[in-house]
Amino acid sequence: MYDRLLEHVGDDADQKQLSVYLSQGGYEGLRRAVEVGPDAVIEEISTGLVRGRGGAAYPTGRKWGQLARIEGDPKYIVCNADEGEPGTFKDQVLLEKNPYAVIEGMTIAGRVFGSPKGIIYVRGEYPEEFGILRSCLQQAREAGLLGHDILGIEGFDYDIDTVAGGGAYVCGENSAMLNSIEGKPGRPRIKPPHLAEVGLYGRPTLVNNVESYAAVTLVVANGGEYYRSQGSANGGGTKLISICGHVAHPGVFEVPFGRYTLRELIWSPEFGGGVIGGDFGFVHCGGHSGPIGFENILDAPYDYDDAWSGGKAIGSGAIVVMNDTVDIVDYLRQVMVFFRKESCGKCTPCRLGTTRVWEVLDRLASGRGEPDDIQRLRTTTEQVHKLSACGLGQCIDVPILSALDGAGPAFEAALVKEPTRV
Amino acid sequence: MSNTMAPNPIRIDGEQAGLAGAEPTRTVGVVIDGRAHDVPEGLTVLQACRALGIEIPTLCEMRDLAPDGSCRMCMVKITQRGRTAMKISCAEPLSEGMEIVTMDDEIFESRRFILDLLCSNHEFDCFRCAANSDCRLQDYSMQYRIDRTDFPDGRFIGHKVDSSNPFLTFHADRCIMCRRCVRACGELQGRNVIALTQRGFDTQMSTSWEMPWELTNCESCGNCVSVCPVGALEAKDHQRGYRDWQVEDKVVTTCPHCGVGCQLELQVRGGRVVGVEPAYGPANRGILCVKGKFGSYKFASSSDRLTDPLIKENGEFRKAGWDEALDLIADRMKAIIAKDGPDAIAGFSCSRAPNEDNYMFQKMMRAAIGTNNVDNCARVCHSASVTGLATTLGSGAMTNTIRDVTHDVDAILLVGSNTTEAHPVIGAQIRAAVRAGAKLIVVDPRRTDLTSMAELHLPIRPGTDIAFANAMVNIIIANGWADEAFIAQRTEGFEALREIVAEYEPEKVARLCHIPVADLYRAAEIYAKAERAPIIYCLGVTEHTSGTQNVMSLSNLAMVVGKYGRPGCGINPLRGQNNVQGACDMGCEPHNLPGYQKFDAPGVMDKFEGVWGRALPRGIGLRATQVFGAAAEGRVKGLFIFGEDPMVTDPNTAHVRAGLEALDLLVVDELFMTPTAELADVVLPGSAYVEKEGTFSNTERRVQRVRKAVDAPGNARLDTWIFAEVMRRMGYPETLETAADIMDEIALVDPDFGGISHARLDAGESLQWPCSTRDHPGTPIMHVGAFKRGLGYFYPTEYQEPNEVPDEDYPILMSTGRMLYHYNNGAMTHRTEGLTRIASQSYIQINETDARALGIAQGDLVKVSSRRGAIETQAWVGDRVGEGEAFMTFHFPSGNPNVVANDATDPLCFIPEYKVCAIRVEKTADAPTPGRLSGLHEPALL
Amino acid sequence: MTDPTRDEVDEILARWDHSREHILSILQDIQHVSPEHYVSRSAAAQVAEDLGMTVTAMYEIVTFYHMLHATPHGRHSVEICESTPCYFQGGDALQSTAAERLGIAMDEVTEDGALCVETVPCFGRCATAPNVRIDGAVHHRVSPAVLRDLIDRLVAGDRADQEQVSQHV
Repeated sequence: MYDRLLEHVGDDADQKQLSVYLSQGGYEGLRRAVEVGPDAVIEEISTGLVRGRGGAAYPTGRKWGQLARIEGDPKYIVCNADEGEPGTFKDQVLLEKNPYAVIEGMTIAGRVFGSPKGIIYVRGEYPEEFGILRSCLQQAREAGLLGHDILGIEGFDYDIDTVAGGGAYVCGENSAMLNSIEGKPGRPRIKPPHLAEVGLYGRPTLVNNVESYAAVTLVVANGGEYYRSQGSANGGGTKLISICGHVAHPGVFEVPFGRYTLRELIWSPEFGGGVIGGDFGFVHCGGHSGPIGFENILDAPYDYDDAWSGGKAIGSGAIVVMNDTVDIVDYLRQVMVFFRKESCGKCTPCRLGTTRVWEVLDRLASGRGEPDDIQRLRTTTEQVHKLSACGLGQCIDVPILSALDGAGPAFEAALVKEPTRV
Repeated sequence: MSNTMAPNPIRIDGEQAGLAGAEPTRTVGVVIDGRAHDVPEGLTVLQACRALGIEIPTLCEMRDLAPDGSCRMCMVKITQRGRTAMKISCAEPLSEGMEIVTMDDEIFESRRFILDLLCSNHEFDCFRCAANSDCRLQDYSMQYRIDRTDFPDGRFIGHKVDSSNPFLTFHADRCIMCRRCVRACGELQGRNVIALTQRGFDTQMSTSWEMPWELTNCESCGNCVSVCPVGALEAKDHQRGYRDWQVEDKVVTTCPHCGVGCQLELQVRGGRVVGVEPAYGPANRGILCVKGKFGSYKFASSSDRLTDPLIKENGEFRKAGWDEALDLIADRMKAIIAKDGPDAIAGFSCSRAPNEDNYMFQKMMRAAIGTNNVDNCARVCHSASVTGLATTLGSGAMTNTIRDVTHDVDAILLVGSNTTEAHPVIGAQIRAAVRAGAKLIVVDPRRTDLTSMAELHLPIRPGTDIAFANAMVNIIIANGWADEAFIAQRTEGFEALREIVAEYEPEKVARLCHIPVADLYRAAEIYAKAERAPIIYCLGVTEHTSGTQNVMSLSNLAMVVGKYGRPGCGINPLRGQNNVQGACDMGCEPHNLPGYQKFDAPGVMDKFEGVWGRALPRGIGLRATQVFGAAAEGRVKGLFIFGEDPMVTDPNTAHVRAGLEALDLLVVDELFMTPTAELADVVLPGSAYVEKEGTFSNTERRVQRVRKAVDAPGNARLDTWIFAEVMRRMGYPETLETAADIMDEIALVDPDFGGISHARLDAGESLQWPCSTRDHPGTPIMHVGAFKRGLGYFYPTEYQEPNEVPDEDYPILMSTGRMLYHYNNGAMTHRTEGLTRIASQSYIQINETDARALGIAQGDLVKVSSRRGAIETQAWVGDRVGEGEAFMTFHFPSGNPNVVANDATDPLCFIPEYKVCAIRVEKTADAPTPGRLSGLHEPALL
Repeated sequence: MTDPTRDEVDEILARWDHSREHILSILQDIQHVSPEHYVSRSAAAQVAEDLGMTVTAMYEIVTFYHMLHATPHGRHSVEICESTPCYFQGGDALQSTAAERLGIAMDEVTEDGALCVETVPCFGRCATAPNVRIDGAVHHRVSPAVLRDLIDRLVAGDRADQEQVSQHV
């Protein structure tokens, strides 16, 4: 069994064939999971120091352990394939190049929790990936790896369905996603209760990211110790990252935690290949809700305990590089265009606050800023962060405050520039 | 729409069913604003603070619903396990050791920020807004010192106004997106008219596909208006008529329409009731229906209220003084008594009047006039229940409570009740029960609103109720689902019933009822196996010549599976009028004294004769339905009608008219000049519910206060005064004056009311009779441990055909009933303009197959005739009724089906067969607007 | 404005097993067979009845999700990514190009109902920025000239289609 998510990949078309996956050692993980039993599987995942790959980095072993201790029937296994953070396309590539790793990981989860049903929630903008998964799932069924009596084991009944989203970033928030699966608008729920207790249809539910399930497959197949050794003291294994923006080689790469610095990821010919169209301006890490870094942080290791971002830089795995032709204020305005359109509208601070923050940035970016706008930007952002009901509103302060703190002069300059448009 | 899938695991309502005593709750120790408290476990931080008198602002919070968590105003600081965070208090469960800070500079700033944002997207229309001075945004903005928003000139939601609904206006630019209206409409009312559309800044409450409000299926209950904390949703009467600071008095009283007994808060200004807000009562729990919210006050101040006594001379009415009118009545009555005896006089009491009024009326008839010829309109609606359940259980009333039978139940067997139209607030609670997972079985020949959400709809042929019930019992016994232990220990007569129901083979009965036999089995299984399943029924069961037996067959059904004397079960007749329960309780019946006490029961007569100081008549009197015939034959010469309109509401109008016209003396005590009052010799102007003190008993036996808010117009007087005056002039020295005093006498003579007094009710107690002593807490669930009569009685019910079935000449079977927007004769509802805008013309629902055969299209004018008469109306063609069946309401003077309805009665209780008569329908003209109904706003019809 | 037929909607419902979980796929498929790519109230009402949901709930869903539309949305769609990786690699110029060429603002439909041009958030093709989706097909590294050409062809093709349609009517 290979020990990386994308290493073994040859022709994309082949990777959608179950036979090819099996020939590469596929489903060894599931067999082993059946052999060692649920507790040992969870133990392995904890040993492997698997961190959630969707952005929150919650220890996967702990999450699985919590669900195992909860009483309730049935338990559901849900895969969050609603990759919506701009600049993030690693799940898209993973689903194209190694879909069975995800399916196998979900099946392992199904076995561990005695679940009858798994669901992969694929964002509406990924119709090709939706189709790929459907075809792969059908092949798995036909080979007795999904459905009744999986692997010939009586009573091991589990199947996976795919559900498509409809264009809403907020459905990447797990409780909003479950609401969407239940046929409602995807607005987040109040927590507590947590999804492990009250999840899909009110039942205990496991929600993990696409890449997390694939990681589980590797961990169970190759052993937790081995997986952990591939990474760092903060996260075992490898992370898929998507580098884009003003770089020579945008794309998805697979890197062990802590092995490389941001400088290396951006400039090394192995990865980003260097900044194009100008000098380095800034880098926006982890997705739109992640921190913005400037020249001074480039030598930080790409790891969960980096000093400059408190570990938030990894997030979804996105690394968006902007050269120095891009004004940070313009950039933040465009970030807020995203958030204000994606706000679900449920809670007052995010519903109205994201638009008000955008308006301030719009004024600043177009030279119509008012003298107290920078202070207004800071306080409004902080309040929205403090009062919002879910991660969307709660995280707008990360890019904005990191930019205000790291590039203060740019904002001062915006106050005195000429108005560009009405 | 609520976005929390599961109900909040924290129980918000600690109400018990009332059976056992409440268990002592555990407490947790917390520190709130620096002080230590021990608070009951299971509360949220907000609930605990509120209970301790600490105010926390909220906008989206709604009583009885799970926390919404959207406004973020209720933020507090919580320190737990060493970590401090700002959290919303409405959804945060208390836990041991929690430290809570409800106010400091940071919290103040955050709440202020939220208000600032809301103000930046709000049109300040205060000058014209109904909520001016009654607005949370105003209140909080003052408290949190918002002068102007920090975000002026930003994006704005847009100025959309929809005033197409007759009662309310929606202003999108005032909305603060608290989502309470959406939740009221979706979760409390279950109508789902208001949509929570779009997302982000553009989030807006709207209608589906932006339809004008009047084209939606809105039933104008007004609950969205009542819950709106600002003026985004306004009642038109409120906007045009008053502001909160002008309201001189807010009076909590009980709704005058149906037997649900919703609590209203009347808004009084300038001596008139100008609006209504819902009050939180045990039956309605904060919601109302269109009649309660919008149709419960205009009639009282209508300019055509009777203001003076009227005496008819030479066929014309002239005004008279009270002395003249009352003396005339007394003299004429004395003359009749002298010549023909006291039983030549009869009285109909008003089932919309308070208990105290009814008590005085029957006392007048019995003690002053000397006859038991007293009755009320229960005769024509639920007398079958009163008699039937008294026979089988020992008491004729609803056994459980409204909340109990609609909350936390596994199934509901709903028979002959169009609840969302006739008892709308109970209907809304049934919708909520279904939403919560209860399986609803609807037994009704018609397709009604609730059938669309029913697990099963059994459209049994009208008149086949007993066969249906007996077949159900047959299936239950055959499958071993009967509660053997219960039958053995708590009932008698089972063997006789078992023998009878053996004949009612499901296949045979299914054919008779024309329903699929599989559905019959399924219904029996669901009902029998459900742990908690009430039977809820209404006039579809009772208004038959076999009405009493119909009721008893259902009572048998519940008894076979032991569903009595415990929560979520029982047999539950929904009493129609607001105080028809009370009118019966007060003894306005020819065979019962107050409290259903019998003339020949030991000690009863002694007691009454002792308290009333008079020898009293002992023979059973005439039922109301018998009076018209007796009058026509000259056996009854005088009739005192209090607040009833038999010319409109009783069947076979020709027969009624003949009876009334034959009388020597007809006295009518009324609010308006009704068709019945037109025929009177003396008309007396009485007072409406807003003008008097008293109590109503709702359908769950709950005695609730009626409170005076305004004075009666002109020279109209309290009805209790009128009766006392008549009594005195008849030589009976009546001294009772106030309603409270009258209730004290009721408590003296009626053991069921023994512990009930205005003092207890005004102190906040909520009492359901039987309530025998001053310390008794009332009885939510009856027949616990033993039935009122001891053992429950299985009555040997046998199917019999209705009196008149369709034949060649009259081939269609017609039922009559109600619709949502009007109440019975419409005296009150026709005087509310919005209601007549929605419905002002009569109609007959006929089946589309029949219509096609008869060449009738939607809206065509038709003649409906029977052996008793004919009327003109319009045709509503569709599938609401089955083939060969039809349905009409009796709310509209233009086409009252009582002209054609059959007045044949049940031999046990004398209830008329409103639900079955044979008619013929013929087209007379094309629809004025092709394909459309006239005078009916179709989208609003259920 | 033509709606999908009742049969078409029934077929779509059957395709997705009459399951509420697939409501978004059902509604998107209805849009596909609707020439103007939207979900009408009557189509929604048919779906609502089949799935035991309310029309109100349908409207809430259609207006919440970006890929669904409650009003006519043009026979063809031009979707320009506006998230930062695309926007700052030429995406902003594409917006003005489209607006200029068609004489409408972003998120509007042309008067003849032919085209809707709108900005959309990131759809995961950042490596080939700036990206444009035309009738669902992704075009990579699009320049203003290329976009103008694509729009021209779209408009011409639509005009031809419309002429054919009007001849048959």
